[in-house]
Amino acid sequence: MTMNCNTVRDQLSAYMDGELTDETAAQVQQHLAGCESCSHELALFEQLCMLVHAHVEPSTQPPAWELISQKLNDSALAAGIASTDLWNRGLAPVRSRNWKTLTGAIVALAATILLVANVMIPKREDQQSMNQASMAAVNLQPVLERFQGDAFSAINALKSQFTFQDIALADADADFGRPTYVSTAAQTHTLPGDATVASTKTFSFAFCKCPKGQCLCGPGGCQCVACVCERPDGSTYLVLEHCKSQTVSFGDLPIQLVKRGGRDVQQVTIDGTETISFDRTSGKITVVGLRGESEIETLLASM
Amino acid sequence: MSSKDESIEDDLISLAAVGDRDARRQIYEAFAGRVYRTVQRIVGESDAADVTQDAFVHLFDKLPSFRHESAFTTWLHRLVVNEALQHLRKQGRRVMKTQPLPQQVVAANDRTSIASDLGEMLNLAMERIEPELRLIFQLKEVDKLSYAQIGEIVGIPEGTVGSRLNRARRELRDHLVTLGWEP
Repeated sequence: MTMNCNTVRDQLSAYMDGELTDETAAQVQQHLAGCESCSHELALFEQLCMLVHAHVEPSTQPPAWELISQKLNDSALAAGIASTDLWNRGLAPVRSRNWKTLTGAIVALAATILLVANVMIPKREDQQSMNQASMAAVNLQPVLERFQGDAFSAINALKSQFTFQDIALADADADFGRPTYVSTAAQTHTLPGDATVASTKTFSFAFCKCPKGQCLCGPGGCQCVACVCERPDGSTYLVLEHCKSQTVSFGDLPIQLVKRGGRDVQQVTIDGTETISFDRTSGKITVVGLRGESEIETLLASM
Repeated sequence: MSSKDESIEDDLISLAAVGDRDARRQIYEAFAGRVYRTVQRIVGESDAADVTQDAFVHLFDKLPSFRHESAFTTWLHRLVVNEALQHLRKQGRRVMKTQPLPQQVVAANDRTSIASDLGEMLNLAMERIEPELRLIFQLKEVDKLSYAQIGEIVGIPEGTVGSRLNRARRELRDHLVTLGWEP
Protein backbone atom coordinates (compact mmCIF):
# COMPACT_ATOMS: atom_id res chain seq x y z
CA MET A 1 0.00 0.00 0.00
CA THR A 2 1.32 3.43 -0.97
CA MET A 3 1.07 6.25 1.54
CA ASN A 4 0.36 9.85 0.61
CA CYS A 5 2.06 12.90 2.16
CA ASN A 6 -0.70 13.59 4.69
CA THR A 7 -0.63 10.04 6.04
CA VAL A 8 3.15 10.05 6.26
CA ARG A 9 3.29 13.38 8.06
CA ASP A 10 0.81 12.09 10.63
CA GLN A 11 3.22 9.23 11.30
CA LEU A 12 6.45 11.18 11.09
CA SER A 13 7.19 11.48 14.82
CA ALA A 14 6.25 7.87 15.47
CA TYR A 15 8.52 6.86 12.58
CA MET A 16 11.45 8.88 13.88
CA ASP A 17 10.94 7.60 17.45
CA GLY A 18 10.79 3.95 16.36
CA GLU A 19 7.21 3.53 17.53
CA LEU A 20 5.74 2.12 14.31
CA THR A 21 5.33 -1.53 13.39
CA ASP A 22 7.90 -2.83 10.91
CA GLU A 23 5.30 -2.95 8.17
CA THR A 24 4.12 0.65 8.65
CA ALA A 25 7.68 1.90 9.08
CA ALA A 26 8.60 0.28 5.76
CA GLN A 27 5.70 2.04 4.03
CA VAL A 28 6.75 5.40 5.48
CA GLN A 29 10.33 4.75 4.44
CA GLN A 30 9.23 3.90 0.92
CA HIS A 31 7.34 7.19 0.67
CA LEU A 32 10.23 9.20 2.09
CA ALA A 33 12.59 7.76 -0.51
CA GLY A 34 10.58 9.45 -3.25
CA CYS A 35 9.26 12.58 -1.50
CA GLU A 36 11.60 15.50 -0.99
CA SER A 37 9.06 17.52 1.00
CA CYS A 38 8.40 14.83 3.63
CA SER A 39 12.11 13.97 3.82
CA HIS A 40 12.87 17.64 4.49
CA GLU A 41 10.32 17.69 7.32
CA LEU A 42 11.86 14.59 8.86
CA ALA A 43 15.32 16.14 8.62
CA LEU A 44 14.06 19.23 10.48
CA PHE A 45 12.60 17.02 13.22
CA GLU A 46 15.96 15.28 13.56
CA GLN A 47 17.87 18.57 13.75
CA LEU A 48 15.44 19.79 16.38
CA CYS A 49 16.14 16.67 18.45
CA MET A 50 19.89 17.27 18.20
CA LEU A 51 19.41 20.87 19.30
CA VAL A 52 17.35 19.78 22.33
CA HIS A 53 19.84 17.12 23.34
CA ALA A 54 22.68 19.61 23.18
CA HIS A 55 20.88 22.08 25.47
CA VAL A 56 18.85 19.84 27.71
CA GLU A 57 20.32 20.52 31.14
CA PRO A 58 18.77 23.29 33.23
CA SER A 59 21.13 25.86 34.64
CA THR A 60 19.77 25.59 38.18
CA GLN A 61 19.81 22.80 40.75
CA PRO A 62 16.83 21.09 42.40
CA PRO A 63 16.03 22.10 45.97
CA ALA A 64 18.19 20.62 48.73
CA TRP A 65 16.93 17.50 50.50
CA GLU A 66 16.86 19.39 53.81
CA LEU A 67 14.01 21.57 52.51
CA ILE A 68 11.94 18.52 51.62
CA SER A 69 12.76 16.91 54.96
CA GLN A 70 11.56 20.02 56.79
CA LYS A 71 8.32 20.03 54.81
CA LEU A 72 7.78 16.36 55.63
CA ASN A 73 8.17 17.19 59.34
CA ASP A 74 5.69 20.05 59.01
CA SER A 75 3.30 17.80 57.12
CA ALA A 76 3.46 15.11 59.82
CA LEU A 77 2.81 17.68 62.53
CA ALA A 78 -0.15 19.12 60.60
CA ALA A 79 -1.59 15.62 60.30
CA GLY A 80 -1.42 15.31 64.09
CA ILE A 81 -3.38 18.54 64.55
CA ALA A 82 -5.97 17.46 61.98
CA SER A 83 -6.63 14.24 63.87
CA THR A 84 -7.23 16.32 67.00
CA ASP A 85 -9.94 18.23 65.16
CA LEU A 86 -11.65 14.93 64.34
CA TRP A 87 -11.44 13.96 67.98
CA ASN A 88 -13.19 17.18 68.92
CA ARG A 89 -16.03 16.51 66.52
CA GLY A 90 -16.41 12.93 67.76
CA LEU A 91 -16.95 14.06 71.32
CA ALA A 92 -19.97 16.25 70.46
CA PRO A 93 -23.03 14.03 71.33
CA VAL A 94 -24.42 14.37 74.91
CA ARG A 95 -27.26 12.50 76.65
CA SER A 96 -29.56 15.25 77.91
CA ARG A 97 -30.15 18.95 77.91
CA ASN A 98 -29.26 19.14 81.67
CA TRP A 99 -25.92 17.57 81.11
CA LYS A 100 -25.14 19.63 78.10
CA THR A 101 -23.46 22.55 79.82
CA LEU A 102 -21.40 20.47 82.24
CA THR A 103 -20.51 17.91 79.61
CA GLY A 104 -19.62 20.67 77.23
CA ALA A 105 -17.21 22.10 79.78
CA ILE A 106 -15.67 18.66 80.39
CA VAL A 107 -15.43 18.06 76.68
CA ALA A 108 -13.80 21.43 76.18
CA LEU A 109 -11.28 20.67 78.92
CA ALA A 110 -10.66 17.17 77.55
CA ALA A 111 -10.32 18.53 74.06
CA THR A 112 -7.81 21.09 75.27
CA ILE A 113 -5.79 18.35 76.96
CA LEU A 114 -6.04 16.20 73.85
CA LEU A 115 -5.07 19.10 71.68
CA VAL A 116 -1.93 19.69 73.70
CA ALA A 117 -1.21 15.96 74.01
CA ASN A 118 -1.89 15.22 70.40
CA VAL A 119 0.39 17.96 69.19
CA MET A 120 3.10 16.68 71.49
CA ILE A 121 2.70 12.93 70.97
CA PRO A 122 3.23 12.82 67.21
CA LYS A 123 6.40 14.81 67.68
CA ARG A 124 7.72 12.25 70.18
CA GLU A 125 6.62 9.33 67.99
CA ASP A 126 8.10 10.95 64.94
CA GLN A 127 11.35 11.53 66.81
CA GLN A 128 11.35 7.92 68.06
CA SER A 129 10.66 6.63 64.57
CA MET A 130 13.43 8.80 63.18
CA ASN A 131 15.83 7.59 65.85
CA GLN A 132 14.99 3.96 65.12
CA ALA A 133 15.35 4.50 61.39
CA SER A 134 18.62 6.27 62.03
CA MET A 135 19.87 3.46 64.27
CA ALA A 136 18.87 0.89 61.65
CA ALA A 137 20.68 2.75 58.88
CA VAL A 138 24.40 2.07 58.76
CA ASN A 139 25.96 5.32 57.56
CA LEU A 140 29.00 4.34 55.52
CA GLN A 141 30.01 7.84 54.46
CA PRO A 142 32.75 8.05 57.14
CA VAL A 143 33.97 4.58 56.11
CA LEU A 144 34.26 5.58 52.46
CA GLU A 145 35.90 8.89 53.29
CA ARG A 146 38.51 7.21 55.46
CA PHE A 147 39.13 4.40 53.01
CA GLN A 148 41.66 6.08 50.68
CA GLY A 149 42.94 2.68 49.59
CA ASP A 150 43.28 1.29 53.11
CA ALA A 151 40.45 -0.93 54.40
CA PHE A 152 42.13 -1.27 57.81
CA SER A 153 41.82 2.48 58.28
CA ALA A 154 38.25 2.53 56.94
CA ILE A 155 37.08 -0.09 59.38
CA ASN A 156 38.05 2.19 62.26
CA ALA A 157 35.11 4.41 61.30
CA LEU A 158 32.80 1.52 62.14
CA LYS A 159 34.58 0.84 65.41
CA SER A 160 33.51 4.26 66.62
CA GLN A 161 29.84 3.48 65.86
CA PHE A 162 29.37 -0.12 67.00
CA THR A 163 30.73 -2.59 69.53
CA PHE A 164 32.94 -5.16 67.84
CA GLN A 165 35.20 -8.13 68.33
CA ASP A 166 38.09 -9.58 66.33
CA ILE A 167 37.24 -13.10 65.32
CA ALA A 168 38.39 -15.94 63.05
CA LEU A 169 36.37 -16.21 59.86
CA ALA A 170 35.22 -19.76 60.71
CA ASP A 171 33.98 -18.52 64.09
CA ALA A 172 32.26 -15.59 62.39
CA ASP A 173 30.38 -18.08 60.21
CA ALA A 174 29.29 -19.95 63.32
CA ASP A 175 28.24 -16.77 65.12
CA PHE A 176 26.51 -15.47 62.03
CA GLY A 177 24.51 -18.69 61.76
CA ARG A 178 25.41 -19.39 58.12
CA PRO A 179 28.46 -19.30 55.82
CA THR A 180 29.37 -15.74 54.92
CA TYR A 181 30.02 -14.74 51.32
CA VAL A 182 33.70 -14.08 52.07
CA SER A 183 34.14 -17.47 53.66
CA THR A 184 32.61 -19.22 50.66
CA ALA A 185 34.50 -17.12 48.11
CA ALA A 186 37.80 -17.54 49.94
CA GLN A 187 37.43 -21.31 49.83
CA THR A 188 36.67 -21.28 46.12
CA HIS A 189 39.32 -18.61 45.37
CA THR A 190 36.74 -16.35 43.77
CA LEU A 191 37.28 -13.19 45.82
CA PRO A 192 37.70 -10.16 43.51
CA GLY A 193 41.30 -9.27 42.70
CA ASP A 194 42.55 -12.73 43.76
CA ALA A 195 42.40 -11.43 47.32
CA THR A 196 42.70 -13.38 50.54
CA VAL A 197 41.09 -12.61 53.89
CA ALA A 198 43.36 -10.48 56.06
CA SER A 199 41.11 -9.65 58.99
CA THR A 200 37.59 -10.40 60.25
CA LYS A 201 35.50 -8.56 62.81
CA THR A 202 31.90 -8.76 63.92
CA PHE A 203 30.00 -5.57 64.76
CA SER A 204 26.85 -5.68 66.89
CA PHE A 205 23.90 -3.51 65.90
CA ALA A 206 21.84 -1.96 68.66
CA PHE A 207 18.61 -2.09 66.70
CA CYS A 208 17.19 -4.59 64.23
CA LYS A 209 14.10 -4.11 62.07
CA CYS A 210 13.64 -7.82 61.31
CA PRO A 211 10.40 -9.36 62.63
CA LYS A 212 11.01 -10.92 66.03
CA GLY A 213 12.85 -14.22 65.71
CA GLN A 214 13.48 -13.80 61.98
CA CYS A 215 16.84 -12.02 61.99
CA LEU A 216 19.37 -14.04 60.01
CA CYS A 217 22.39 -12.51 61.67
CA GLY A 218 22.96 -15.03 64.39
CA PRO A 219 21.31 -15.99 67.65
CA GLY A 220 23.31 -13.43 69.60
CA GLY A 221 21.54 -10.46 68.00
CA CYS A 222 21.85 -8.49 64.81
CA GLN A 223 25.44 -8.54 63.63
CA CYS A 224 27.60 -7.44 60.74
CA VAL A 225 30.58 -9.46 59.59
CA ALA A 226 33.34 -7.17 58.29
CA CYS A 227 36.27 -8.66 56.38
CA VAL A 228 39.34 -6.88 55.11
CA CYS A 229 40.47 -8.61 51.92
CA GLU A 230 44.01 -8.15 50.64
CA ARG A 231 45.09 -8.37 47.01
CA PRO A 232 48.48 -9.85 46.02
CA ASP A 233 49.86 -6.29 45.64
CA GLY A 234 49.00 -5.51 49.27
CA SER A 235 46.04 -3.25 48.52
CA THR A 236 42.82 -3.93 50.40
CA TYR A 237 39.06 -3.68 50.23
CA LEU A 238 36.33 -4.13 52.80
CA VAL A 239 33.38 -6.54 52.68
CA LEU A 240 30.41 -5.98 55.01
CA GLU A 241 27.66 -8.54 55.34
CA HIS A 242 24.53 -8.28 57.46
CA CYS A 243 20.77 -8.78 57.37
CA LYS A 244 18.54 -6.85 54.98
CA SER A 245 16.82 -4.96 57.77
CA GLN A 246 19.93 -2.86 58.28
CA THR A 247 19.67 -0.13 55.69
CA VAL A 248 22.94 1.07 54.22
CA SER A 249 23.30 4.82 53.84
CA PHE A 250 26.07 6.76 52.11
CA GLY A 251 25.24 10.09 53.69
CA ASP A 252 25.80 12.96 51.30
CA LEU A 253 27.83 10.96 48.79
CA PRO A 254 26.34 10.69 45.28
CA ILE A 255 24.76 7.28 44.73
CA GLN A 256 23.88 5.56 41.49
CA LEU A 257 21.08 3.03 41.53
CA VAL A 258 21.90 0.56 38.77
CA LYS A 259 20.89 -2.87 37.55
CA ARG A 260 23.87 -5.20 37.39
CA GLY A 261 23.89 -8.94 36.96
CA GLY A 262 20.16 -9.02 37.58
CA ARG A 263 20.53 -7.24 40.89
CA ASP A 264 19.54 -3.78 42.09
CA VAL A 265 22.84 -2.23 43.11
CA GLN A 266 23.72 1.00 44.89
CA GLN A 267 27.05 2.21 43.57
CA VAL A 268 29.27 5.01 44.84
CA THR A 269 32.44 6.10 43.10
CA ILE A 270 34.91 7.99 45.27
CA ASP A 271 38.62 8.65 44.75
CA GLY A 272 38.67 6.25 41.82
CA THR A 273 37.39 3.26 43.77
CA GLU A 274 33.97 1.66 43.68
CA THR A 275 31.66 0.83 46.52
CA ILE A 276 28.62 -1.30 45.81
CA SER A 277 25.79 -2.51 48.01
CA PHE A 278 23.07 -4.99 47.14
CA ASP A 279 20.72 -7.59 48.56
CA ARG A 280 21.13 -11.32 48.16
CA THR A 281 18.72 -13.97 49.38
CA SER A 282 20.34 -14.30 52.78
CA GLY A 283 21.21 -10.68 53.49
CA LYS A 284 22.83 -7.47 52.32
CA ILE A 285 26.42 -7.14 51.09
CA THR A 286 28.44 -3.96 50.79
CA VAL A 287 31.96 -3.90 49.38
CA VAL A 288 34.10 -0.79 49.78
CA GLY A 289 37.14 -0.16 47.58
CA LEU A 290 36.74 -2.33 44.52
CA ARG A 291 38.94 -1.55 41.54
CA GLY A 292 36.94 -1.01 38.39
CA GLU A 293 34.40 -2.99 36.50
CA SER A 294 36.23 -6.32 36.43
CA GLU A 295 36.24 -6.69 40.22
CA ILE A 296 32.58 -5.69 40.41
CA GLU A 297 31.73 -8.28 37.78
CA THR A 298 33.77 -10.94 39.60
CA LEU A 299 31.97 -10.17 42.84
CA LEU A 300 28.48 -10.27 41.34
CA ALA A 301 29.23 -13.38 39.32
CA SER A 302 30.22 -15.28 42.45
CA MET A 303 26.91 -14.59 44.25
CA MET B 1 14.08 7.87 33.31
CA SER B 2 13.71 4.45 31.88
CA SER B 3 17.19 3.39 33.02
CA LYS B 4 16.16 4.01 36.62
CA ASP B 5 12.97 2.12 36.04
CA GLU B 6 14.41 -1.26 36.79
CA SER B 7 16.93 -0.08 39.33
CA ILE B 8 15.00 1.42 42.21
CA GLU B 9 14.93 -1.14 44.98
CA ASP B 10 11.61 -2.47 46.25
CA ASP B 11 13.11 -2.47 49.74
CA LEU B 12 13.93 1.20 49.41
CA ILE B 13 10.37 1.99 48.37
CA SER B 14 8.96 -0.07 51.23
CA LEU B 15 11.19 1.65 53.76
CA ALA B 16 10.37 5.09 52.38
CA ALA B 17 6.67 4.24 52.55
CA VAL B 18 6.88 3.64 56.28
CA GLY B 19 8.77 6.89 56.86
CA ASP B 20 12.41 5.84 56.78
CA ARG B 21 14.20 9.15 56.25
CA ASP B 22 17.31 7.65 54.76
CA ALA B 23 15.32 5.69 52.17
CA ARG B 24 13.36 8.82 51.31
CA ARG B 25 16.54 10.75 50.94
CA GLN B 26 17.98 8.13 48.60
CA ILE B 27 14.88 8.20 46.43
CA TYR B 28 14.95 11.99 46.43
CA GLU B 29 18.59 12.11 45.42
CA ALA B 30 18.04 9.57 42.66
CA PHE B 31 15.14 11.45 41.07
CA ALA B 32 15.30 15.10 42.18
CA GLY B 33 17.19 16.30 39.12
CA ARG B 34 14.82 14.69 36.65
CA VAL B 35 11.72 15.71 38.57
CA TYR B 36 12.96 19.27 38.88
CA ARG B 37 13.64 19.44 35.15
CA THR B 38 10.17 18.12 34.32
CA VAL B 39 8.52 20.57 36.71
CA GLN B 40 10.67 23.42 35.43
CA ARG B 41 9.53 22.78 31.86
CA ILE B 42 5.86 22.78 32.87
CA VAL B 43 5.59 25.62 35.40
CA GLY B 44 8.65 27.71 34.58
CA GLU B 45 11.80 28.36 36.55
CA SER B 46 10.41 30.75 39.17
CA ASP B 47 7.94 28.21 40.64
CA ALA B 48 9.90 25.04 39.90
CA ALA B 49 11.59 24.69 43.30
CA ASP B 50 8.36 25.09 45.28
CA VAL B 51 6.41 22.73 43.05
CA THR B 52 9.22 20.15 43.20
CA GLN B 53 9.16 20.28 46.99
CA ASP B 54 5.37 19.89 47.07
CA ALA B 55 5.55 17.05 44.57
CA PHE B 56 8.01 15.08 46.71
CA VAL B 57 6.05 15.69 49.92
CA HIS B 58 2.95 14.46 48.08
CA LEU B 59 4.88 11.53 46.66
CA PHE B 60 6.10 10.32 50.06
CA ASP B 61 2.61 10.83 51.44
CA LYS B 62 1.15 8.64 48.69
CA LEU B 63 3.94 6.07 48.63
CA PRO B 64 2.08 3.53 50.83
CA SER B 65 -0.57 3.36 48.08
CA PHE B 66 2.00 2.45 45.38
CA ARG B 67 0.96 -1.05 44.30
CA HIS B 68 3.66 -1.84 41.72
CA GLU B 69 0.99 -1.98 39.02
CA SER B 70 3.18 0.30 36.93
CA ALA B 71 6.90 1.01 37.02
CA PHE B 72 7.88 3.22 39.95
CA THR B 73 9.23 5.93 37.67
CA THR B 74 6.03 6.00 35.63
CA TRP B 75 4.01 6.31 38.83
CA LEU B 76 6.35 9.01 40.12
CA HIS B 77 6.23 10.89 36.83
CA ARG B 78 2.44 10.81 36.69
CA LEU B 79 2.24 12.20 40.21
CA VAL B 80 4.78 14.92 39.49
CA VAL B 81 3.10 15.94 36.24
CA ASN B 82 -0.29 16.11 37.97
CA GLU B 83 1.20 18.24 40.73
CA ALA B 84 2.70 20.63 38.18
CA LEU B 85 -0.47 20.84 36.08
CA GLN B 86 -2.53 21.39 39.22
CA HIS B 87 -0.21 24.23 40.11
CA LEU B 88 -0.85 25.77 36.70
CA ARG B 89 -4.60 25.44 37.15
CA LYS B 90 -4.36 27.12 40.55
CA GLN B 91 -2.40 29.92 38.96
CA GLY B 92 -5.23 30.25 36.44
CA ARG B 93 -2.97 30.85 33.52
CA ARG B 94 -1.98 29.24 30.30
CA VAL B 95 1.60 29.66 31.36
CA MET B 96 4.11 31.64 29.44
CA LYS B 97 2.39 31.47 26.11
CA THR B 98 1.28 35.07 26.43
CA GLN B 99 4.72 36.43 27.27
CA PRO B 100 5.93 38.94 24.70
CA LEU B 101 8.82 38.19 22.43
CA PRO B 102 12.09 39.59 23.73
CA GLN B 103 13.49 42.57 21.91
CA GLN B 104 16.95 41.07 21.46
CA VAL B 105 15.99 38.46 18.88
CA VAL B 106 19.20 37.11 17.48
CA ALA B 107 20.15 38.42 14.10
CA ALA B 108 19.77 35.69 11.54
CA ASN B 109 23.03 36.54 9.81
CA ASP B 110 25.14 36.50 12.99
CA ARG B 111 26.22 32.87 13.17
CA THR B 112 28.37 33.33 16.29
CA SER B 113 25.55 34.92 18.25
CA ILE B 114 23.13 32.29 17.07
CA ALA B 115 25.43 29.49 18.14
CA SER B 116 26.04 30.93 21.59
CA ASP B 117 22.35 31.64 22.16
CA LEU B 118 20.86 28.42 20.84
CA GLY B 119 20.01 27.24 24.35
CA GLU B 120 18.25 30.51 25.12
CA MET B 121 16.42 30.38 21.80
CA LEU B 122 15.27 26.87 22.54
CA ASN B 123 13.99 27.92 25.97
CA LEU B 124 12.08 30.82 24.42
CA ALA B 125 10.60 28.58 21.76
CA MET B 126 9.64 25.98 24.35
CA GLU B 127 7.87 28.64 26.39
CA ARG B 128 5.76 29.59 23.39
CA ILE B 129 4.10 26.25 22.78
CA GLU B 130 1.12 24.88 24.68
CA PRO B 131 2.06 23.46 28.13
CA GLU B 132 0.54 20.08 27.21
CA LEU B 133 2.63 19.90 24.03
CA ARG B 134 5.73 21.02 25.91
CA LEU B 135 5.15 18.34 28.54
CA ILE B 136 4.81 15.55 25.98
CA PHE B 137 7.84 16.81 24.06
CA GLN B 138 9.86 16.91 27.28
CA LEU B 139 8.80 13.41 28.33
CA LYS B 140 9.95 12.12 24.95
CA GLU B 141 13.10 14.11 24.23
CA VAL B 142 14.46 14.74 27.70
CA ASP B 143 13.19 11.81 29.76
CA LYS B 144 13.35 9.36 26.84
CA LEU B 145 10.04 7.72 27.67
CA SER B 146 8.15 5.50 25.25
CA TYR B 147 4.80 6.50 23.77
CA ALA B 148 3.14 3.91 26.02
CA GLN B 149 4.69 5.44 29.15
CA ILE B 150 3.86 8.99 28.05
CA GLY B 151 0.29 7.94 27.29
CA GLU B 152 -0.04 6.42 30.75
CA ILE B 153 1.35 9.51 32.46
CA VAL B 154 -0.66 12.06 30.53
CA GLY B 155 -3.77 9.91 30.14
CA ILE B 156 -4.02 9.80 26.34
CA PRO B 157 -3.80 6.97 23.78
CA GLU B 158 -0.41 6.16 22.25
CA GLY B 159 -1.57 7.33 18.83
CA THR B 160 -2.43 10.72 20.29
CA VAL B 161 1.06 10.95 21.75
CA GLY B 162 2.46 10.72 18.21
CA SER B 163 0.12 13.33 16.76
CA ARG B 164 0.83 15.75 19.63
CA LEU B 165 4.55 15.23 19.20
CA ASN B 166 4.11 16.13 15.53
CA ARG B 167 2.40 19.36 16.56
CA ALA B 168 4.99 20.11 19.24
CA ARG B 169 7.89 19.60 16.86
CA ARG B 170 6.36 21.69 14.08
CA GLU B 171 5.45 24.54 16.42
CA LEU B 172 8.88 24.47 18.03
CA ARG B 173 10.56 24.47 14.64
CA ASP B 174 8.46 27.46 13.51
CA HIS B 175 9.19 29.43 16.71
CA LEU B 176 12.90 28.66 16.45
CA VAL B 177 13.03 29.83 12.84
CA THR B 178 11.27 33.04 13.87
CA LEU B 179 13.90 33.52 16.56
CA GLY B 180 16.70 33.16 14.04
CA TRP B 181 17.47 29.44 14.01
CA GLU B 182 18.90 28.26 10.72
CA PRO B 183 18.60 24.49 10.57
